[in-house]
Amino acid sequence: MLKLDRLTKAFGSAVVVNEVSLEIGSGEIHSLVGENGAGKSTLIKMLSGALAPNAGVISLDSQPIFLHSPLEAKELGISAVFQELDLVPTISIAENIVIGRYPMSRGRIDWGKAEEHAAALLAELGITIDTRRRLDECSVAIRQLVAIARALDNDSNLKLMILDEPTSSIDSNEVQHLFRVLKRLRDRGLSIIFVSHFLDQVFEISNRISAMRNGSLVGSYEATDIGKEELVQEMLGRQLSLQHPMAFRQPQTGVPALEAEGIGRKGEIGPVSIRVERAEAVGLAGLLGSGRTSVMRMLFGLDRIGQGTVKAGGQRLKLKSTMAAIKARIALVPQDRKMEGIFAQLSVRENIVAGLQARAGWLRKISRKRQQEIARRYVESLHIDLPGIETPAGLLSGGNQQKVLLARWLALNPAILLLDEPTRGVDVGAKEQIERLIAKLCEEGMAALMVGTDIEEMCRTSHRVVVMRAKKSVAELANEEISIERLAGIMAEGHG
Amino acid sequence: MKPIWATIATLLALIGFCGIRYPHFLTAAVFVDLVRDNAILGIAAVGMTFAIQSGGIDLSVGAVVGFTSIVIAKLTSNLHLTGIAAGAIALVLGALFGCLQGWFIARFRLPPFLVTLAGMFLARGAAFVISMESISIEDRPLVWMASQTYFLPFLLLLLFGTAIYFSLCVPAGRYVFAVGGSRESSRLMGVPVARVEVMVYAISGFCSALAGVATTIYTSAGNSTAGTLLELDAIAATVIGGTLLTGGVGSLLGTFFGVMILGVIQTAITFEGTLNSWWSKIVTGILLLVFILIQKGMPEARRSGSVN
Amino acid sequence: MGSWRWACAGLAAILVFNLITNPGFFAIEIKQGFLYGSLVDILNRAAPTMLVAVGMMLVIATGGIDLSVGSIIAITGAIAAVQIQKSAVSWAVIESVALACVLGLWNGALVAFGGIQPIVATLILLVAGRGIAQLVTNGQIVTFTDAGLSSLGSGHFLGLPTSIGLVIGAVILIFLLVRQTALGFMIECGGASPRASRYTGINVRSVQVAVYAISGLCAGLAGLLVVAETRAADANNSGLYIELDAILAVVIGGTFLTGGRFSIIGTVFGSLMIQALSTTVLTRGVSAEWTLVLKAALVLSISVLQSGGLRGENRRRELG
Repeated sequence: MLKLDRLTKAFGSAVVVNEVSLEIGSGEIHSLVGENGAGKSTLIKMLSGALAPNAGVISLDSQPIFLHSPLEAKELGISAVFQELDLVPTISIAENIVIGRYPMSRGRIDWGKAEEHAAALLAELGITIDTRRRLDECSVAIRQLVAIARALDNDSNLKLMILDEPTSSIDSNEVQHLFRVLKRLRDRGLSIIFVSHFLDQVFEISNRISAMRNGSLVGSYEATDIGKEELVQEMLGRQLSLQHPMAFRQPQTGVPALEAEGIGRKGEIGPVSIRVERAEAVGLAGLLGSGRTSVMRMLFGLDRIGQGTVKAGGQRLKLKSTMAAIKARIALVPQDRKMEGIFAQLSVRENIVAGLQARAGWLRKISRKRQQEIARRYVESLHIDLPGIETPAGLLSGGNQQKVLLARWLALNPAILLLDEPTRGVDVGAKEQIERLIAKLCEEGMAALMVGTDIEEMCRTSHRVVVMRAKKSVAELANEEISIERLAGIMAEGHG
Repeated sequence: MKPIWATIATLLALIGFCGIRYPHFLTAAVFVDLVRDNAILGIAAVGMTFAIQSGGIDLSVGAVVGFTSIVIAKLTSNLHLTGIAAGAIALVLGALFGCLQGWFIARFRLPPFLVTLAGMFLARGAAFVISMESISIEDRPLVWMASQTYFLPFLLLLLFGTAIYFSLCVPAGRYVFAVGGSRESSRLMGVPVARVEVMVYAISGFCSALAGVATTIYTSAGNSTAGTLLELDAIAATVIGGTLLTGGVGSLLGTFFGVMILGVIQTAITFEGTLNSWWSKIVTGILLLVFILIQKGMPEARRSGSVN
Repeated sequence: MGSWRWACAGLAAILVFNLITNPGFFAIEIKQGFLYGSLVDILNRAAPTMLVAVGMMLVIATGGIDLSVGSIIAITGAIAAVQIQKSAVSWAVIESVALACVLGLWNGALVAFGGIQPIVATLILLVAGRGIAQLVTNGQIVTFTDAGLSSLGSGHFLGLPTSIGLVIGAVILIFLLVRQTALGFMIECGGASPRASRYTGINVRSVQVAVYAISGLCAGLAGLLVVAETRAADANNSGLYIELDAILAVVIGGTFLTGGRFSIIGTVFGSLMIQALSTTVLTRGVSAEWTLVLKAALVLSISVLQSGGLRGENRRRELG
């Protein structure tokens, strides 16, 4: 029904989706899985008309189609339900469904009819609710179903519905409800693309599953033909290139750098226990949504720690603010480089000294000369490739931005470096450089805790790996125990 | 609790307080005066409500009032047009002026406050260029309207009625809420966002011009400084009426009550005799603060409902 | 990237225009040891706006806006004029300026701790402020004769009006405050990306409170200048619409309304340019009313230009 032929999308020099060819039959639920940055969201944005591909063809019923806007896609029968983005929260449920096609009678909107219509549609999806309620008063699950109802109502010729992470913030009853609805729609002949990182759900609902990794499609499988563990390996990478095997994992220096014991917040996350020793690189593994980023945020004083204790260098910490973490010589290279890391307008020099300056306080300004010295030193030692240190950081490539961020934190001479997906969205060359840099820092005595999406990379670069699943730390592997199969097994087990 | 209930409660409390304190307060004459004296503010507030509901703001309101007022005076006194024709021309000019502001906002994605700030300079400057002097109105129809006690209240209620109908029962009126609630989602749902924005500022321009006409009638004079700082009271009335300054939520009925609240405060201060007029500004400021804080505390607390 | 050069070029263009059409514009006379002439007049009249604009610029650089400056001017003027009747100059000055600073802190607290949008938070004081000022003056225009206070507005210092010296001093002080410490840097970080600032350990809230306090302080000083010059506190009209001129000066000076980089020199030139424009209109015998129209055209054209610039920047950012 829908066919993608070598679909490619690049932003500048970064290829985000690389020659993806895929077929989706009618009346099938096709899941798309892959880690952060695998290219799933870019791919579905191209399918829904929000982004135009650089190369490749999309054909619908063997007709090539060219989508210039989501509205055009809708007219052709392709509708996407993105999280939160396609409904107006401040208007009523009924209005969200009928907006743009209000039922009119005698020149005015017939609200009675609109509400009836909306109620009937939602009843078909198995919910009864007062459709006059404002959408933002409703739970996420209801909003999800309202969006689906709108998509169904909008196009009588709806052929393909794309659901982006529809289950990420709803409970298991609601998931079951949604799945019943989806199966019913499928049986009516609708094709559904289901994007999710909950593998149990993916296996439960899908006819076919496609896995993406680093912008490429790594495989499409019948859901019955592939096991969960195998799928995780596909998603996370299996080929063991082992350029720099962590020369058989010595450290375990016995000198604790960071000790988190049973930290968490009731009902949200935890308990999580992690211990990182001096000169040790510890990987924090887990699938998307397993709570790994939350752990990083807690350890850096960004989120409240409800229970448990954190010690750095044997001292118990009260992590009330990021400054408290910084003063305890903890540093965090965040996941979302653009929003949380880089000051795009400001120069590379300013980006590098920002952390030092924040710690020094506003009264003790670092002199311009000293700033330049520091910036130059790191630009050189980290091989940051740029025209000059006064270049706005926003103009650099992802890899160089990441190095600038690393430089910001290394300038603070931290004892503990938290890295949340340090090689995400970074090209291969820079990736290797960053990996080596981290290994070298560890040799010099730094304690590093890394979240990574690439399981193979994690096996290669960590001395120890702590595995998280369902917001808890569930296992710890060291030395010979670390292997891709084993990690994939633990991560996939009982996940959902 | 919906914000409009807070508005109604405040209004009733104020009226109750005044009724107890001032024996002659609860009379029909006082209430007719209340509506009549606040008609200009009310008319301007209708346009402001649309602007704020769409997620914007219109700072040019007061300046357009001054511009309209002087234009009408000039047209009737120098060009000997009848007041009706002059008024009609002024209304068209106001709407066109609003269109232009809306076009700048939609086309260049400029912040509404900046564009309407420029609009304020432009309209006030143009008014001053036309005449710095106050010109008295001798046109028959306008003088007749000025003599009718119920004319301005009638105009106000008519406008509110039409606007409420438009805002509740006409698709274009509904789009204002959608755009204010989420510009991006509205676009994805097929709402013509740019046209809605232009329309909103056209409505606001039209209402400001109508407020200008009302001012001219009310004062029987054209004055280029008329309406100075009217936009602030209009914003205050809108916010006190429960319209969210971030857009998307609100009601014209609430705005009407907001205008009445400001009016009652004013009346109470007059009744009090010893209190001075500036207290109304201070009280308005305090009410504004209170209602902004109420709005701030609201949305998070209200998530409920489940599938089953 | 915005640039102060626009403002400089604009000012130069206006001056060159005058040079060609009206060379008398540049004449500076010395009467009784004091300098007089259009150029001095521009400096003198631009002084209060410049002061307010520099404070406004810092607020805008954090991504905020301060609409209440006009009201703060009215309040400080009122306090100074009333206090001068009963106490010494120094005390009246200190008291009014301290109050202005407190009002700024109030704005800052609403924004930083109340989480209220800046335009809304400062609207409250904009609405209530003139009422407070009238409360202080009891609704009258309070006049005073104290020579000490009025010399701030109409006295001379080194041949130039005192107000010029005062404003230059204040602007230099602010320059030292933000550029010789890291405050300016933190303001730019906060405006460029509040989230990244938090992740870097910068206390964004304190920075916000500080800029609104500085803005209040600047408005307070400007209020003193206005009241000193006119020897009267007019709660209704002093500082009316000055926030608009100030925002205009900041925007012309190359600081983006979206926050981030700011330029003090650009803002100074921006306010000079606005005043030069007004003075030119006046000296050419065009009625003063046209200045408002010209300012409107200026705001629109500059912001349209900036929005084009912004779009270019976004596109480049996406490449990164």
